[in-house]
Amino acid sequence: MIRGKKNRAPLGVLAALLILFLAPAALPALSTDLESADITVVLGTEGKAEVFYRLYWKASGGKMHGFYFQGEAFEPVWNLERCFADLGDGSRVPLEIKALGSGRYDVVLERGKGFTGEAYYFLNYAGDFGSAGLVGLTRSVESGELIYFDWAPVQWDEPLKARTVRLVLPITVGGESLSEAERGAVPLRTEKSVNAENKVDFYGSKGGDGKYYLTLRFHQESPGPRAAQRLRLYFPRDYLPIAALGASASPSPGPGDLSQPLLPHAAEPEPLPEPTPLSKAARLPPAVALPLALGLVALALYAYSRKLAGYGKKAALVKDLSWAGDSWIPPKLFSGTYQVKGKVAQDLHPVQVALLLELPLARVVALMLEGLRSQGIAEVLEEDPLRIKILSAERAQEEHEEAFLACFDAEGRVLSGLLMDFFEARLKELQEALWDCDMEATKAYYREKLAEAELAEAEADGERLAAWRASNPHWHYWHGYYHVRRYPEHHAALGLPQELKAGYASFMKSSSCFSGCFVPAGAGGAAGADGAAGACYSACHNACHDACHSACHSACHSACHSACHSACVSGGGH
Amino acid sequence: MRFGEFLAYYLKSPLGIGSLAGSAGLALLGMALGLPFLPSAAGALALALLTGVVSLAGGAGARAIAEAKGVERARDVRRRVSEAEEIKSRLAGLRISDAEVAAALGAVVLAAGEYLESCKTRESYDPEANFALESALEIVGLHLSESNETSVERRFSLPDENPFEDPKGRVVAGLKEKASTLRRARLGMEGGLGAGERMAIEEELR
Repeated sequence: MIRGKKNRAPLGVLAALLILFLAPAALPALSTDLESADITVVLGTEGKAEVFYRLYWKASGGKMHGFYFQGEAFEPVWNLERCFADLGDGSRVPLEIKALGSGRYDVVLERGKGFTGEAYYFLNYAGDFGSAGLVGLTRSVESGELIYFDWAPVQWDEPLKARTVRLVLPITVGGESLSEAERGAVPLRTEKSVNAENKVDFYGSKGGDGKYYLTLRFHQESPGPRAAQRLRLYFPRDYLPIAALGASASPSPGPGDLSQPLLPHAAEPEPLPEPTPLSKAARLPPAVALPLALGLVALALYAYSRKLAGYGKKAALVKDLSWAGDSWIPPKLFSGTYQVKGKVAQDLHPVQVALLLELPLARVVALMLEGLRSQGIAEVLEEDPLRIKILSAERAQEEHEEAFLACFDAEGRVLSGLLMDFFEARLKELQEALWDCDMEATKAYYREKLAEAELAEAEADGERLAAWRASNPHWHYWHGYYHVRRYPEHHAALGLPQELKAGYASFMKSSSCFSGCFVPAGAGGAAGADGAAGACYSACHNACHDACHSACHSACHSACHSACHSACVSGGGH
Repeated sequence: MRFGEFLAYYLKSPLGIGSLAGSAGLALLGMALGLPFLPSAAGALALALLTGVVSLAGGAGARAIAEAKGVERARDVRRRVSEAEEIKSRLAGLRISDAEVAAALGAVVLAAGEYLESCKTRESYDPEANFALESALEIVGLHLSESNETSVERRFSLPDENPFEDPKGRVVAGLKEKASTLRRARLGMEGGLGAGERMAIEEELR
């Protein structure tokens, strides 16, 4: 990860020259400061983990766009849905994360945005700790077989005021606070350095299932530049329910070796090369510096044109990648932690509202049928098993309607697999609409809207009803919603596949849909019952962002910054 | 035509019904005037037979039989066309998410519409075309069934128990063939000549 100083220095000087040449006034003025880092690691029972970073940055004297992130022991699988920055003005900006090679990432605000003042950057990625050897089996003479956890958050090239790592383990506890007895019962063993370098605490994090999960907190005050926070922990083999570690973990260091480093990559980092000072570059004679700078500009333009030429191919790959991503990245019920407080998605379709409010899926089908019936598009012939007749060959106005009608065969019988696909698609849309919304506020908004719809639909005054309907383009479905709530016996016996007779949360968790993923509440990403559907398309987004980024973000920018900030630590706000 | 069939068509014709009704009326009139039942009934039957023989000999009975047969045939055509319309309506109402299959189905629906218009105009139908419509419905049903199975197999990671090689290509080809059959049937009902051929004839006649 750390490249030799000799190799990097000339490029660094050239890059510095170019920056001096292109932007002599802006760069020296920008001052960035990472104040604190909060990291949460949620360890799953398969040895995989999700990692959440919350980084508090301050910038003055110019616009800060992002920073470099480097030093993770594995290749992160980024979840761009949860990578964003909350800026001081209250806005939330998605992040673009570009892989620069060698495990280094350029994390910037989207579309070249920048900020002055303060901002919280949120990062989320996943990794297989078991495969990477960060979690595995070892043995000690005194304690027998143990599970070790050996991981460190990335180091930063500047001092921080505080750094906290929370490790959420798949162990349930009684509540948020642990009694002395419960604390004493946690069979945790650590390397001495862990206790010496951290304040350690135990508590319970509430998960989406309502249970509390054991959380270890490791807090450091004022860690210096490039300070490590290596956490080497040990638990009895039977304590942690982590499966399939034996085959995937790195070789055990053997009996009595607990004091030795378990993982070579987690060893203390080598001393880092000092960044090339700009003043040194500036001392080069102008006769040398100018041709060098012009040459580098030409090189950058050439690299940019090559990137641009390759963009078409990358874009063509996105379709395939998205399919692959759908199949291997399980969607997750996402958390409330990333919600913008008070933000409400105001343009949801009544069917999405029904899913949000967890109306049983059979009732959502009833709602759809009622909406279609009131438009004269379809009618129900039989309820159990469900059989409909499509009355109109004309394309329906809404995509939902067409997609729903596509779930019926030529006899009008429901095709269960396609109906499940229909619900999954609606849930994905819902997630896209809700990803940064305040779930409770959104629910409250739509409960109110539903009450309004019920009042309006029950309205005897034809003019007022007509006025309400005119102001609500989806009124057929609000009418349907009102109808299925007002008359629970209507379509009560719809014959549907068993998987669709539950609410969407249980549908999401069933094998007929996605595998639900637990993210405890304290993990900066609480899975909640409030969550929506899955983020199947992270891989697609990654690929898309990569392709776009490659084309739009000039080679000049990334290459020069990469060359200037060649340290293998994260940081380098820019 | 067998005698029984011949007689049945005659009795179903207005002439047959009229002669029977007239004979029965005369019999009732006779009984009302005090004649006994048997002579009245025998007289009525004889009158009906006489009317039948005379009308057949004079040609009116044969025309009545032909008309009755035509009416029944027209009724049969209407029934067949109505059945085909029902199938076409079901095909048109189907929503197919695959664009290529949907386009092929659209071609069938369009050709079926033109064919049915022709059927109504000419009060005729083509059994082959009607069968093609039924087949198209079955083919689309197979496509939907396969799509559904594929979805379920993917969702539950199940093996494909009923392999269906190149389902889309075969379904599209099948539907296109049915559309072609329907277009041919329409053309056949309109004289068997396409617009180009008819124009060529016009030009030759000038």
